[in-house]
Amino acid sequence: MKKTEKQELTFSEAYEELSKIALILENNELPLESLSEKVTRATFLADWCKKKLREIETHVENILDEKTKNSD
Amino acid sequence: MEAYSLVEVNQYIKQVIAANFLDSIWVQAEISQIKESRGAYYLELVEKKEHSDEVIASTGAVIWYKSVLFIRNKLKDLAHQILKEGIHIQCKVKVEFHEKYGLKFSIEDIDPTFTFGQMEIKRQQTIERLSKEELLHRNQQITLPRVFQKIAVISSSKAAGLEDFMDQLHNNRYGYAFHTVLFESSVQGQNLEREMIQALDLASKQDVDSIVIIRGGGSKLDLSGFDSYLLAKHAALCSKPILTGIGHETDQTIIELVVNSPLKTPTAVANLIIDHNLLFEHSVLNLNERINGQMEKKMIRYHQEVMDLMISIRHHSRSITERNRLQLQNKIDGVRHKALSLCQTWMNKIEMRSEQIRINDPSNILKKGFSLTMQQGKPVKSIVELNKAEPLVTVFADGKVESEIKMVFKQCN
Repeated sequence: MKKTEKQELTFSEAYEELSKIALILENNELPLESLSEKVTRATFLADWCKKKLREIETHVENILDEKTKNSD
Repeated sequence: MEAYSLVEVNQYIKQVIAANFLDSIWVQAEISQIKESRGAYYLELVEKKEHSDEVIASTGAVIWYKSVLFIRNKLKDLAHQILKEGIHIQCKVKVEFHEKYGLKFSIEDIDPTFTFGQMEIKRQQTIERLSKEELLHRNQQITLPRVFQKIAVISSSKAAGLEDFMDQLHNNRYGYAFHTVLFESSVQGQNLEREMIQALDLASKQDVDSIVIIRGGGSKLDLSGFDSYLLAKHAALCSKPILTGIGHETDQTIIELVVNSPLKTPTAVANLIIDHNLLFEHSVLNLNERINGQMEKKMIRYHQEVMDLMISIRHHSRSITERNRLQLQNKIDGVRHKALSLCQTWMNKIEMRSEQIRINDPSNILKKGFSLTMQQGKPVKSIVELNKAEPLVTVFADGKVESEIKMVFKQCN
């Protein structure tokens, strides 16, 4: 049951899934057939997490900038 | 029975009187009536019971033209004051009896000192009475208005002094406006007392701040009306301050003893009123100046105080907001730093995982020239796991090779 961005994926779920894939790959426990799919999924999750983090960063900056301005 | 004719009797009376009144005699009496006809005065002399109006003696008298000239020459202006009704005179008379006209006193001379003595006595009695009744200073106790504005004027519209007064008052050089109402009254003669009392009563009921009594100046006519006790009493009890300009040079009249401000002439009354208003204007201007001065001082001080307060408030508010702003900035910076470093931590973790995945992605290894050996769909990590009967699948980056196992060599370490 893989969640996509649209299906209310949370950051911690994404990170957990990414970590699991990394562990599976490290332990070489993956059937070769699903390898490509897993890597694709991992790449998506990593990009999604990065995007989420960047969004959070921008949001934090914006909000705090506004606050700083309003306090003048 | 013997009878006499009227002429005989009257001739006899005439002889008796002539024999007994050889010389003229001095008589004291009151003039009850007097009228002038063709240069002669015809009088009715009376004597009244003391403190009463009851006549106890009366005789007709005449001043023939010759005597009129003599008396006028002797008394000058005083003649007018003496030859009038109600006046007590001491006169030198020739007692005469005429067959046709009866008894008649022919007045040859008048002693004015008696009349004035009588007048003075009466005057003193009036003053004493007013004093006893505490009327002398009654009107003087009323304070003058701060400013004269509405003035009731009691005078005769025919009086010359009235014109002087009005002219002086209304054409004052300061431009003060006055509202004057005239109450007509005789200012001499018999009707003075009655009319002036009436005028006073009327005027005191008006909305005026003072009452002015003006008598025509110039001619030195009779002033005795102003010595009336009743008039003085009314004036004393008047609710408004009374000013008089009766216009005389001799002694003050009784009314002038009781009014608030007796002045010699109508012009003097006008001047007093104008000066009084001028004084008020001066005091107002002076006060205004003082108030302005004080106001200015106060305004400057308040202004300075407000300025100081504003500066202080501005300073304090600035330092408070500055402090708060700094505190807030520190907090924000702290929050930003934590949030961003948290993001960075996660970013690092993600990067690490991605790197891990990249490193462990077998396809990358295959691209480097390594290959993966698999048997029955599972990667073969050791020769021990091998089943010689099953084919081996070798996975390359770009494809697979299936092969049979011929020999297995075990590496010896």
